[in-house]
Amino acid sequence: MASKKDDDASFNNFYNNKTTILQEARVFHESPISPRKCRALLTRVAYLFYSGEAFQAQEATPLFFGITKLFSHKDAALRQMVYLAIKELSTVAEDVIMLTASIQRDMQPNSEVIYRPNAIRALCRIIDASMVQSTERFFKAAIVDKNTSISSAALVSSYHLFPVSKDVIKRWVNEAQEALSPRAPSFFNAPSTSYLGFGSSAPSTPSYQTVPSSSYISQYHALGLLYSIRQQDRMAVIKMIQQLGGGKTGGGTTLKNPMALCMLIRYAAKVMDEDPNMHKQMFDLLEGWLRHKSDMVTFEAARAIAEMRNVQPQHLTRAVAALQNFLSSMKPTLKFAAIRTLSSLALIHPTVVAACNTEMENLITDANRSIATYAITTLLKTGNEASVDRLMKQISGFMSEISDEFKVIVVDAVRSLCLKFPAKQDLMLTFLAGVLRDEGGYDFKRAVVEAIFDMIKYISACKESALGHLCEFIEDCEFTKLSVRILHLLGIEGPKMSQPTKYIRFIYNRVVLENAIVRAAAVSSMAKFGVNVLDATVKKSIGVLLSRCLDDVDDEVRDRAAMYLRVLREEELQETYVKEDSVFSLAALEAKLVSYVNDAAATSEPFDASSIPKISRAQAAQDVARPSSLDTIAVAVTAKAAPVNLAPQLSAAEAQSQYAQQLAAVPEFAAYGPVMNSSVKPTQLTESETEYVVSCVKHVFKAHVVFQFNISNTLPDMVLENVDVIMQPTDETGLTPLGSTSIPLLTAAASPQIAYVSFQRDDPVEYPLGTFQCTLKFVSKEVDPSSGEPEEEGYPDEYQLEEVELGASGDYILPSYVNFNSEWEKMKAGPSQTETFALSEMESIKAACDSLIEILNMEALGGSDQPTSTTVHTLQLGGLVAGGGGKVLARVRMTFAAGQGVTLELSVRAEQEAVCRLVMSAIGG
Amino acid sequence: GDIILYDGLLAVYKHSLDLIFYVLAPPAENELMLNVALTAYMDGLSLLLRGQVERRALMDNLDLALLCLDETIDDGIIVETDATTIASRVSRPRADTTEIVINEQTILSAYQTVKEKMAQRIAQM
Repeated sequence: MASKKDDDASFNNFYNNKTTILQEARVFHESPISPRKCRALLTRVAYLFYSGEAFQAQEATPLFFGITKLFSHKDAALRQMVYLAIKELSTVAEDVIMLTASIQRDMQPNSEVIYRPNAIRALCRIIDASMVQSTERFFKAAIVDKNTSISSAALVSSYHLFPVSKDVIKRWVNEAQEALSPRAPSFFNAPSTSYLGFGSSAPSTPSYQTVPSSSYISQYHALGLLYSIRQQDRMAVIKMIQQLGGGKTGGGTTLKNPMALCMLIRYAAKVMDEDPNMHKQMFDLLEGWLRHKSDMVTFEAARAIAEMRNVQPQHLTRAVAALQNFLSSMKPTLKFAAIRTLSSLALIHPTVVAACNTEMENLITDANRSIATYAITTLLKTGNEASVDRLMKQISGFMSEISDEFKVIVVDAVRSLCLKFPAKQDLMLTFLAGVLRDEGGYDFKRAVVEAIFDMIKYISACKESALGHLCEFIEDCEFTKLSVRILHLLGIEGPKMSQPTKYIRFIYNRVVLENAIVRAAAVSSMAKFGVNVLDATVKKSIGVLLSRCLDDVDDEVRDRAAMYLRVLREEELQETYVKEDSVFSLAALEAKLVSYVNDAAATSEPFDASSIPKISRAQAAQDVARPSSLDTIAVAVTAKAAPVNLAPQLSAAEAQSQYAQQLAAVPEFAAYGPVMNSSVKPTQLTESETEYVVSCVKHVFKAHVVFQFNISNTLPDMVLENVDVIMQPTDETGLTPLGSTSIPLLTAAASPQIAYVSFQRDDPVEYPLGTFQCTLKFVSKEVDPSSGEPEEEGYPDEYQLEEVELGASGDYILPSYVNFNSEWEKMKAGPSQTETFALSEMESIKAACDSLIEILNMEALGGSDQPTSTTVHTLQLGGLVAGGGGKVLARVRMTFAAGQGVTLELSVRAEQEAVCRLVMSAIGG
Repeated sequence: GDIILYDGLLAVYKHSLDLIFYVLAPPAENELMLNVALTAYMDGLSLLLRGQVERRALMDNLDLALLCLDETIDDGIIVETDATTIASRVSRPRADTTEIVINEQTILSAYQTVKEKMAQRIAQM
């Protein structure tokens, strides 16, 4: 092995040394030229390029012109290598165009040299658009040359040149058409053995005998060029497909090259996709090609049908049958192609693909693991409950033979299978527990553990045994991260099981045997048993176990044990530290922390966590739900079929930080202090297709309110100057206007821009509400279409916008999760208000719930947004008031009677009197 | 294995003794088409190297290997799939007319040829 490496190194040193090669390039200038030496050096130059060596223009240019000297030597073997080097050097060297004349000499129509195709293919690398015209004569002759190598070379070059010089090359359409007709190998020289025999190295034989191609490949090149020329003209493309398609059976086609037919199929599929009127006709052609004798064509047609937009099962039968046939082939490429297509088809039409289940099951054990993986993932999409047992047995059989990477894919597949067929959970769990005991790296073990976690979460029947398997696993688990996650889960699920005590033994074992991180997790887990298990003896023993942990060598373990011992003794602490089932909304927390860290003045006070909205654990779990790798595999296959819409949806937190940046750009607002709340979504104040599009975002500060208007000018031939928004309150609002910023110049290109209007809150304790009439005021100027400059004279104009409302919802209150019953009791002593409202317009309890949640912008708690009765309901709401206003809770008792609508009694408890009034006025006002 | 989807690319590959040849393409390509190109190249190379497709022979005849590749694929376009045509279009270097080099290699190959011819004759007898 070592000697091989040395070999490699010495070889690369010799070939890869650019400096040596540049020096040795003098050999090009020697006289007489030595073709053998020059060819050897050119090989090394080409090798350098192929192995990725970067050449500078000042290195490549002298080399390039050194090579041009070699044109004076007639040796064919040298000339061919010269062209290869030119092709590569032309990308870096300068003034390569100088060589055009020399190359054209080698392209002469009646020259019979072996390197004529090489010359043609090199020429397209060195000429530019202005030169194409002058080469037209050569190209046209070459395209229709009876030697297919010359014809192909000319067609390929034209294809490369097409984007450079469309107009000239479009004139070569007749020649390309002629090249498309099949030409039997016209001159078949007695099968030349010159390249095999010893005699060829005799210096006296000047010409080479080439073997004419029997592949008809110039049809492929001609079709490619013709399509480039015609692709803008759909009628011409359709005509071409019809002419070459060879009628309904495909038998009459003149195309003999399978790759050319594949291209035709792609063009047909594209036409079909774009023009519904041609659908039937093109589909018939595709079906005809399914019977072609070449596998390549059959497969291309089958795939084109499988990838049709909105394909119906009845259209797929024959294509799937063709693919099914391929699955039992001996060739891995064919099997791979077929299973890959079926795998993505199974996402849309699993029942159609299910016809191939038997063949796919045989592929599970295929030597090519990509094929096996596609087979499994496809089977899991198409399989029915009855086939699962057999499938699982087969999977277990080959788990030990595959790499961790594939094991993860298989485990993920099994995981989604569990969720699809919960009745089979027993089998799946046995399988997962089995592989958990196998050897394997972290990623594999994590996949298995997560699969079991999912089963525990979604299939309650298997909880008991799944927890048992996890307990066994942590007894001998080398991955700290996994142990900690399992201990956490045991702490949550264990106390709910019928025999919680049996888990405690496993958990305490960790305290005795493991490292500090695991021990700390075990302490927390045990404490959960102590709090949540009702049995008093369990509580007592947990107390004993925890006090043993007080002597731990690690301080974190000791601290946790001490804290939980206290929690066990004091009931009310349990609510906060163990039973609490809400967490901070991480996105909001992050946004607040970022602005806290960035604001130098804010650090004088501690970070205020009370203004962060909370969400329940269930919600948090939903947010982080990971996509299954099955889905990602499927995406990789279908990604090209569906153009992914990547329009970024700004998350609330991102929007907030974006606003913060925009506000920071206006120095006046710095004095207002930090923003307490910004509306989540901008309110549209105009229709989206008007001349001026305006949306509004409201920012609430401690003593100020700022309205941010995003204004777009959609008229490219107008510019707006001095754009202002005038806000007129409709009645008394408790706000004093402070000022506004205007946009000096607004063009369509530079839209949208922002104008601000700010107000002072008269009484910072109160929450001002109100409605404002808004008017856009500006000077409009027309743009001179010829010069693009706005005209001197403009005229003042106004534009009426929709009203902006400053209300409770979204502007002051944010939804937040709390444990309603306990909090409601706790806030009994604080400010509260109760009022009764009659909503005669409401048609049902559900409608009333929805509109209350929307108006108050509070979180419905305990599932109370889904009324169980149509006549009586109690809605529980929780929220957080922006800017340190504290928590607010609302209880809405509703009755519904036909004809009277909904009558509701709204009770609000909050930490501040003003908040209660705010909520009341939101409903009453 | 002979085919894999790797890093968003379709890769068709073949082993030949101590070498591996790859053809890479965008994932939407026709797998069989790539296989045809790879087979054409390797068969052409095998003809040129007289069946000895292995590392040492490839490095000694790198000019043939590179020209063979150029005759098979040109800037991403398959130029030819007929291996005999490909091989016949690759020129071999000739000894310079001024100096005929006789070294171990040429003597060895002369010896090889004589041995082959002799073997053929003996077989015919």
